[in-house]
Amino acid sequence: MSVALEPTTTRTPLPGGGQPGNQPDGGRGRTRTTGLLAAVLRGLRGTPIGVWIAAAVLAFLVLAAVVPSLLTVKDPYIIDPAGAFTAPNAEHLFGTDQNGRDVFSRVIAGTGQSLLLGLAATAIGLVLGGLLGITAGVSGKWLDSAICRFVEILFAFPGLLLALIVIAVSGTGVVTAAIAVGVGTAPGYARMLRTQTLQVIAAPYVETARSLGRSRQHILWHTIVPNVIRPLFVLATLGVGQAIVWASSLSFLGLGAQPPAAEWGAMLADGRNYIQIAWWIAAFPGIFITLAALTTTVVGRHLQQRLEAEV
Amino acid sequence: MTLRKAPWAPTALAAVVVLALAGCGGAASAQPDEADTFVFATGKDISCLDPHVNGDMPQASLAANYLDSLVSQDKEGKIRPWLAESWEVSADGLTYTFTVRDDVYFTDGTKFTAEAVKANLDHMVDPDTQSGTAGGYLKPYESTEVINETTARVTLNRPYAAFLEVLAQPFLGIESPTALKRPQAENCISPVGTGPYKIVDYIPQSKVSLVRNEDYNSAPPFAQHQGPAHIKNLEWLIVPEDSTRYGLLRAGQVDALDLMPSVHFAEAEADKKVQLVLQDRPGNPTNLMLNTTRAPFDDIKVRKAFLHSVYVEAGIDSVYFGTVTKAGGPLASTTGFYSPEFEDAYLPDPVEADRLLDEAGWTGRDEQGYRTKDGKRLTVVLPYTPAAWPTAHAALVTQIQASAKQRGFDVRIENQDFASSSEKYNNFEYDLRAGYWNTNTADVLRIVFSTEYMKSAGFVPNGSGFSNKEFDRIVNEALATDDPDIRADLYYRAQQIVSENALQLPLYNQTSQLALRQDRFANLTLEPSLSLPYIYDVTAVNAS
Repeated sequence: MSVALEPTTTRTPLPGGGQPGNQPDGGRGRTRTTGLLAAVLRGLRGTPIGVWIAAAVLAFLVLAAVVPSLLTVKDPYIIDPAGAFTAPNAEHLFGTDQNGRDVFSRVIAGTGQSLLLGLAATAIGLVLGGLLGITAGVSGKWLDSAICRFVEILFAFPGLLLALIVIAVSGTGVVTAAIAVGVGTAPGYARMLRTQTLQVIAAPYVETARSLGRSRQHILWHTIVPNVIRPLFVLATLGVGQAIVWASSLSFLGLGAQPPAAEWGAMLADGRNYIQIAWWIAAFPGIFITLAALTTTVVGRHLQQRLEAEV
Repeated sequence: MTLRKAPWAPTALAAVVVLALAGCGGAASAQPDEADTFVFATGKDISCLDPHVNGDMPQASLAANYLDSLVSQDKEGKIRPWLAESWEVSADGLTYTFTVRDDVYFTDGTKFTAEAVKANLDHMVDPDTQSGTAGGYLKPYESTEVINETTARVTLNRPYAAFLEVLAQPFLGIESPTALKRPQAENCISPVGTGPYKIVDYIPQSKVSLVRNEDYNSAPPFAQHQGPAHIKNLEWLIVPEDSTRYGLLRAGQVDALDLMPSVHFAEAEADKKVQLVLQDRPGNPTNLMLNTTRAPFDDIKVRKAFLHSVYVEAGIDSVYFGTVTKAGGPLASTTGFYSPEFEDAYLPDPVEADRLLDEAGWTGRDEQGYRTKDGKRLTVVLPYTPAAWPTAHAALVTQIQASAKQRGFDVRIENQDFASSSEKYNNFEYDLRAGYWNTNTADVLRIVFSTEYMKSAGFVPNGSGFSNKEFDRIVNEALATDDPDIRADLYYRAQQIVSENALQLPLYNQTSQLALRQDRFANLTLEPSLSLPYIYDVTAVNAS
């Protein structure tokens, strides 16, 4: 989508803009891709140390997710009943679990699944929320109020409960868990994107496009949608952390990843009954869930602040 | 059944309940006089309090404390009177004439009469009751005739030597006929008996509150005293989380618990404040049933290969810490007519397992190392409800999954709630099913393996779907005779057929494992028919 955005050249930034990340491209005539890249690069300068640490940990998690074999050579699924409940030592950095499996390699193996689940769920949430929110924003009148009421009904359910309803209907498993969490987060995205769409529509550059005689279709796809979805990247980064926690919660309840899957939430659930004699079985997956949620949130929030400072 | 309709609820809410309990402590312990209240924590959720419906162990545990039975069993296994003062059995074994007490009242004021006997037995066999256990036991039941207020004549459709034994079980406890007339959903939350306690409140998935029946006059012969129970209030908490349940006991917020978590056994044994009450239970031991009604376990070679593939003993040692004993054949070792001969029929044997699988045509291997046949993977599905089992059981099942994988089996453990798994169980939509059947007779073989138990209201006991005319004949013949030698021979042959057909992977013997805070209470005993916790005789320990 490297469409040149003619109308943005005449655009003046909207006043106010208290909504986080609600400002479209700064209208400086760049394509969106380079705009974002520049924003990120500029963000790197003067970045607080906390963000650096978070980014480093996140990079480690991504590395663990992409090439787990780089960090551990042990098979996370090999059982060894005789070697169960071994405390952390040089051979088993994080000890072994009730089945004698190496906790470190299981935590590393779980990184890929957890991050992927988080990303997939966020993507599903964004697509669903985007469809609802943008449709509501551009259509106006009865369809807008219908969607708004619908989203409000969904808001009446806590997000995790919504996810549980999806699971109750469609059964357990990793794929369902991703969909469930996605659906659970969708109402939030829908509401934000509707507001965003309304602001973009009211922007002068849309007015300009209209006066240039562009068709409704053209304006929708080439002007409104690109400007609406840009701040989504930041929202998504923030959302991944939440999605990881929710997906882990589902697995903790036995509704997500199925045994013997090395998934953080499932491992935490496995280990909780042994916490008095073998704290490491539950502690390490728990620490990694926390790390994943913390780092994505810190990095996401930082990006968001940079983007806001931009305009 | 309405309690079980929210499919996601059991697991999720259980977690929430547990958190709530852990957070604020048991409200019960805040009672002004603690010696007046006994708080018991049970480890498995109760679907319906009425033990006639479905029929799972937690229902019987509670029922033993608010229901009386028609007859009782003593510690030696002998049948003794209870609500029935005496009985006569006809020569052909088809008619039982019970003379019942006429001075007993239900806690709703209804008088106990022969009419109540009829109402209860009819209720258990009514298909609408969905009674897997009580109804299952009563398959030979034909009808009850009320001769007069204190005489009931029960007619059976075939001789049933185990009839009195099962009548002694709390699953067949006698409920108020007035209460039974209410809709099932109502009776499920407030069943009424003649027992030492009565139910006053029930919060599903949280707790049942009971108070003493002050007019109690029908204690069974196995009880140690007569008249009302010693302790006034009984709080029955539902705490499926193993470590939470044990933590509540240690913290003094509950006075006793069942399903004592094996991981904490050593600690509890060393704790002077805690007394363990342990008793192996007879019946069909904890096992995985192999569904013979569909592929791949319709092939006996694949079944045998599976039994030879897995390492059960190592798993039991590691996750149960020696707190349970390995089961061998289809009967638990404490069951009458048990034969040790089948204990080692299927020891781990990778070579034999591989040979059998090759012979059965599962010769291919896919990229993940699982065996295939005609491009289809050797997959066996195990629908599993973690909340229904101790933590250690889940670990054991995972180990079985891992050792079967070595031979090329893809064992899929599919975690789900009670409602979903029961539905699959009743329709034979599984390859493996975790189960056990606690009962006080070798007749359990007929219930778990004979053709007539492939169908049942409630749940299906014959989970392997085994149907064999010769076997059916043998186990029914064993019910028609009192001659112990003939019965021993018949039950030996029945065990042999089950073992030869590789219908179950036996895991460990069922056992009652209770822990009691002996610094506060004493005399927690087990009722003899199923070894269930019996609170009636419990006394407070004087602090001074």
